[in-house]
Amino acid sequence: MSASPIARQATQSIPVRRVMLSDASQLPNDYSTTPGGTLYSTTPGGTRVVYERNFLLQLRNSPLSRTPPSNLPNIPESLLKGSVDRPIISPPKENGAIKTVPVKKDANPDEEQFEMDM
Amino acid sequence: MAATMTDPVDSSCDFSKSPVFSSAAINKMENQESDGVPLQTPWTFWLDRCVHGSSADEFQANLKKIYTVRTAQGFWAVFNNIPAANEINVRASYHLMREVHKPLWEEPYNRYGGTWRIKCQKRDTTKVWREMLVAAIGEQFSDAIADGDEICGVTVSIREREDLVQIWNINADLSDKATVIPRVHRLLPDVDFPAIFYKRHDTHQAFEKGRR
Repeated sequence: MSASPIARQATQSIPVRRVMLSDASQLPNDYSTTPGGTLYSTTPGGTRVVYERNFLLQLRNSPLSRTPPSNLPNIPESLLKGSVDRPIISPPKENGAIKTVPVKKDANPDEEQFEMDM
Repeated sequence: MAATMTDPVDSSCDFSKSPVFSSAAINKMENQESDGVPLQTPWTFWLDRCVHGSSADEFQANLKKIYTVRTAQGFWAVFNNIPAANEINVRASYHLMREVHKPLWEEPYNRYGGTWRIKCQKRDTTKVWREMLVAAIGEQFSDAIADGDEICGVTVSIREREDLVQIWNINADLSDKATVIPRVHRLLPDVDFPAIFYKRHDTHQAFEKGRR
């Protein structure tokens, strides 16, 4: 016996299961496993992993999230608005004076360090 | 720097040889990209400067790939270190496209799709763009679109007056069944949008194949 058309149709949609995570340690260790434990390579139709907004925003300030990828290309200056807060290779030459724009280093506050309170 | 002893384990490594450096660098890059919360699919940041009425080829010439990310932290590492949407020039656009697809209407993956076009007041653009990015990589739209459809990108375009944020899908025929617009309002309850509507790629005058 085959499944009714309605039942078959139902299995074709990608099931969405919401998995709430409060900490990155609840994540699986490998790429092929989704949080909650399904394998997306083997789940029929695949399971889409939905991350809540607040969970993703929490990750924004982690050390990994603040470190630029080592091969991140420079954005062409022509695509940037006039004066932005970053080093500019050829600053506007008004009055013939070339101003040097200091490299503004993002202060790395201590909050990145783990406390060793034992 | 303060190491005064020679480490017997490290003595086998000759750091003056470049292959050692390059493999270390590669390891570092791989670690940066594999540590972290995996996304459903990779996503690629693109940047372009639009020339009105340009052909697909001309558009591609002005298109610059920034980076492909695979994790939430990898996403933020790029987002946090590129100029914000309000720092790029008028007529420039950022795109975040699923996998490594180009933000091009005529691409096989995109050609039957379209975008929800969300006009934004300048003061809201940065916030709207960030929320739409987070919603896209978090797959927040997956229950707001029809079966068989997929959200495949988000774009922010800086304009003279109102900016434009777009959400791309792959099947324009299914856009009527989607609830993307209510979802956008739910994600951004405090924002008033001057306009928000859907447009198929093949209805653009500059769409090259299948032009009507």
